[in-house]
Amino acid sequence: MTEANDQAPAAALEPLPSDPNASYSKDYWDLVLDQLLKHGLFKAGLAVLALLYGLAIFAPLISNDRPYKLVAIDYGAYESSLRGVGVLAGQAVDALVEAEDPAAAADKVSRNVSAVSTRLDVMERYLPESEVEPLDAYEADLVAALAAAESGAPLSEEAGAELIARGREIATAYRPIRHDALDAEDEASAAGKRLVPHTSYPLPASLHWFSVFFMVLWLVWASFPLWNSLWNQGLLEGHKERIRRARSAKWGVLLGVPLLVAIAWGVLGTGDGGAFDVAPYKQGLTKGTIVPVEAPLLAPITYGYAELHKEESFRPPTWQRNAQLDTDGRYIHGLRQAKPDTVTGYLPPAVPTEVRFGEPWPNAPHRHLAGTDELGRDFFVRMLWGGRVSLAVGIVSAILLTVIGVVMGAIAGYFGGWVDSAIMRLIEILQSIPAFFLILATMAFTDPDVVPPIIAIVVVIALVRWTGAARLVRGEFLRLREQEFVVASRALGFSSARTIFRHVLPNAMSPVLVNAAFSVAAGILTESAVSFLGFGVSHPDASWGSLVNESRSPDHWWIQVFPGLLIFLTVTCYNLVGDAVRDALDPKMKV
Amino acid sequence: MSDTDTRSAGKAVDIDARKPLLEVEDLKTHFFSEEGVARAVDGVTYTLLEGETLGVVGESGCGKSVTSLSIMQLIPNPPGRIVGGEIRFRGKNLLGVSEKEMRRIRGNDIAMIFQEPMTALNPVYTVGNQIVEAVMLHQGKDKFEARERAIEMLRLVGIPSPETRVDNYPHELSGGMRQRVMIAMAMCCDPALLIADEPTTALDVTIQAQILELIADLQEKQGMSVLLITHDLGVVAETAHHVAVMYAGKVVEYARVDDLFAKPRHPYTIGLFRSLPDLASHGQRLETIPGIVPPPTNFPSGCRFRTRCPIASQQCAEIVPELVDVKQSDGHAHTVACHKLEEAERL
Repeated sequence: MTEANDQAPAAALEPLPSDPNASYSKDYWDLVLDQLLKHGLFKAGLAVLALLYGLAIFAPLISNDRPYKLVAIDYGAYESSLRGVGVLAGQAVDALVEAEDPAAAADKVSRNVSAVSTRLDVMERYLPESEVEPLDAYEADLVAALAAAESGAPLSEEAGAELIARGREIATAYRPIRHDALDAEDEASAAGKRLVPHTSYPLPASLHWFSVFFMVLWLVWASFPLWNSLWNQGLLEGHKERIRRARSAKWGVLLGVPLLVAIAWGVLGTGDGGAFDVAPYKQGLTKGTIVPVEAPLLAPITYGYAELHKEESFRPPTWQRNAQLDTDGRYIHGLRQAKPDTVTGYLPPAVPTEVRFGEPWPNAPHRHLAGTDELGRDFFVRMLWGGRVSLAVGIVSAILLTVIGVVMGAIAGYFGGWVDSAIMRLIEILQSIPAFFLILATMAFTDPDVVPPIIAIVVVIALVRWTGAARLVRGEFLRLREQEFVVASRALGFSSARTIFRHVLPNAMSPVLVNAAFSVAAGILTESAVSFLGFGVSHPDASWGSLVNESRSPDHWWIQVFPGLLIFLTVTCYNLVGDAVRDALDPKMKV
Repeated sequence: MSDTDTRSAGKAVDIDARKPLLEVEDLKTHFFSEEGVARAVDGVTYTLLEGETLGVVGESGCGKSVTSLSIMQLIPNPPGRIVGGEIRFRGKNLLGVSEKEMRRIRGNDIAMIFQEPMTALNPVYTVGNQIVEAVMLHQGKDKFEARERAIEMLRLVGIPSPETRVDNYPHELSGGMRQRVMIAMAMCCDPALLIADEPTTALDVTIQAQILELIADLQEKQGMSVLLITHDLGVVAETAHHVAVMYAGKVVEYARVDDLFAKPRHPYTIGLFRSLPDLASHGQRLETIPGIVPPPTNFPSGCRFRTRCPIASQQCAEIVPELVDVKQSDGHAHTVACHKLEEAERL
């Protein structure tokens, strides 16, 4: 190193010596990263976890009963709006006409008026530009009448009768003409309006900014190796010292980009849908009340996560030979044919399988990749969406318990004395209670209406399991407290909090990181066990643990095998990653 | 006397004209454990003048480091506690100030450097960051000014190409370099008092000399006082103006460095000088003080040195000797805590 300095005494003005990588020496994180990347199992485990998290995060885009894009006329929504306008406007006018206390009456019917305008908006969506004007005028008159009543002027009888008459007129004049149901002659004589298609994006509009955040987060993190190498080689010209300095900027990208996109999503919104966004698009498309003008852009799997197909109860994975159905809905191949009840002899009647809009045919091998549950919900989709709960519970509980453990352990280890004694006794008391039964008991007494079970289980796991992390941190602090740099930091006048969290804690993080990786696995297992016993997430939500519990019959093997395998795979991968991190952070590692 | 001594002339400090910066008076720091009370510091008194260096010498475990940690009020509590005495810094008793005010004094007015440069720097931050943090805290400078200051300090302590070194991690530097960084860190806020707790013990001899020279050099430039804690009499002779000799939690002798080296008065100090290797007595067995330092939980009654002292009598076991001023011929103070000064002269 001194040689490099001797060679380039003139480099003092430049921020860096001329040969960029000659004087670079690896720091701690370089060494840790090198060690991790040497670990084949670490990379494999990380890849599998990335895939599982990707599937869970993108579950709404992979399986959804809403189409991505729909160019269609929704006759159902139009007609129900039309019916609603007459009734709601009539009620409002009746209440306002000759009211004794106009302001009170206006207060009562203001909700009616806003419902009318919502419905008129829906209608206008499907009407050609030229037909909109009378509706707008009607809406304006209603709002004006309401405003007048609010300021104390009751609606006169004649004006009220006129408004109601106009409402009736609209109800007849704006009846839709189903252009697919009429031939040319009928069309000429029929009274009503011809509707125009409207373009909507039901699936993207239903995405919460929170989901968008994690989607972008996953994309940015998964593509990190790619853009990182571009950044390093292109922008920084492979200069190792500059690469080290760019670390914080990269963290900014890793967290900032998803955050910005999510905020933009939340602020901009899409404005689509409103009151009628809950419209069951798939049902409308199946029944024909929604008439698409062009083929809707559907999600790869068109089932909603709680969509029922009761006639397909406990159907095996459809790529199996014994899942084949005849046209009556009975199994063609022996074993799984319906049997009469052993006591009553009742044989349930066969129901033909219903194929809804966009679904595969009943005997298509990909109709139910992982079979169905008791209510005929697609089990693959259930697992996809259930993974969101299981994986989130694992990570969030691990983060939470690590934070609690680090704070408690740091305080105990740094201050020592009676503080240490108090915290350690608390930890011992907590550890003397069997953790799993404590969690079960707490879950049993938690009202799912007050606290959502997912949140309850995360909090309970964290509150019971923080003791391990706290002990590790305390041990590290007891070791580090004797190091001179801790005394030195206090001798420089730094406060206790700064000394603890800025100077001691970063040195104590290695065992905590390893512990956190294993905690995720333990959290997933605990959540699965609790949900399996029926104390966890409740229907229609699912987690891998509660899915295993859908059936305990050996006939329904797919119910136990698939979620079980997913749990096994995730926990194994986390343990592999934890092992690799522990090896990499080991102070005895070969440099 | 000082005319004949080149060392004293080299330092060129007129001690008399200076005001006291730090006065430690009858300081008592005890550690309370299950085995009993360890009276690690039990009545320490010394004075440090502005701009001078006070050497504190003594064997391991005599309370030198505990005294300095007491001045900074960094005694781990529990088990340790300052139970008595006064520490006056610029006339103000530090034992009375709030923790908040003490934090402002630490690092800003009183700074400290440590024995073990390998562990005294935080391994997870660059050396620059560690200096920057202290500068930002005490001087209210922004990040970039503080970084400039850090580079300036690293240059001042003689680190080559400080512009690149500022971004190095401690493990990338040698022991001597780290000790220089440590000094830069301590000096970055221009403290009035630098406590150097055995700053050279862990370094090899050539680096030792460089570091001591550096401290003396900085002292001259910045006009600060140095409290130098060491067990190396050679280091004291080289750099200190005054010396306090400590034994078993007490100061047994305090004098100007030349007076002490010319004529030590306390039997323990005499023993210390006897056990130094001497060029003249080549080939002979080195003299030692018999016995070991008594454990701090169980000091003997009366004079604590009496169990190892060749001239101890019944009086020494009964009465604790006070520090008495035996004035030098030129009027300088020279205090000794011994009942048997006449006998000690004949040792």
